Amino acid sequence: MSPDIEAPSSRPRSPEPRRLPGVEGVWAFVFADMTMFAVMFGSFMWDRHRNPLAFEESRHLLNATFGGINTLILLTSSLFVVLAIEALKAERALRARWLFALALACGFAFMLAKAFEYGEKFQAGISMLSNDFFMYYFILTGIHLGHVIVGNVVLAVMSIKSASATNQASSLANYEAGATYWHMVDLLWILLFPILYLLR
Amino acid sequence: MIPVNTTTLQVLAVWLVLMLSTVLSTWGFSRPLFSPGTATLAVMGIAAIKLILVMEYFMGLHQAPRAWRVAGALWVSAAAGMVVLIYLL
Repeated sequence: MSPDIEAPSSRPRSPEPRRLPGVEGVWAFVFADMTMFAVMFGSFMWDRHRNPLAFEESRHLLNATFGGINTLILLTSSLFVVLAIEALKAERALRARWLFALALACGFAFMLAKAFEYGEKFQAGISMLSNDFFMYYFILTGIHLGHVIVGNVVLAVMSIKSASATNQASSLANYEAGATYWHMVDLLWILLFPILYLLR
Repeated sequence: MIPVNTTTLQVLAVWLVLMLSTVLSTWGFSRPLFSPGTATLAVMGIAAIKLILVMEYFMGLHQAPRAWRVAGALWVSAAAGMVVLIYLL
């Protein structure tokens, strides 16, 4: 053996190549959607700036406990999705299926809490026509709820299909794309919640 | 016994931080003990950190090419920064 040839064990390990999880197109959609929400947040903040007292009075009519619990629910659902993707990578399809199902249960819990919250507002005679604050409240949370409903469909499909999933790169990328969408739903709520419920 | 790898432990740790910071924002800084300005800046700071944590460790941007990570950080800075800036006007 030539002395100038290094033994394989002494070579430094090359770092894993950087990889965007999922599908690039889904990421492009995610950034476009998040930008649209950011514009709506800016619009809300500008109107709040012009009429702070009315917005603050209306904010007091919201129940921050609903918002906080919904944040905890979405964060937990996101955890289940991350663990499901890890399970798919480890070729543990059945485990992945149950983890996606748990994430879906969290999605349903979010919708249930939102239904209670909307019901509470309607019973108190509050609607999106009440004032500017509640117009933003119903539009922003309504559009977000639409994203949650679509996300629940995605989670249901992933839960059903994952039982027969393989960890081939193309198959895994599709699950990662679905996971990316669900995490975006979580991400949007993380900003939406304090802007509507907590800013004083 | 179910084997637990370092990725799982890392994700669980991030989830715990996210949960505790949500409790702090929702039920801690809402108390009258804090002035509105202090509470708002603290809540928005915590929200920005949570956004970065979700992007990096839940969405997996920490293993993505640098351009995507920069795009994520720029969105968080622009969105949270704009909210704080208009609040402070």
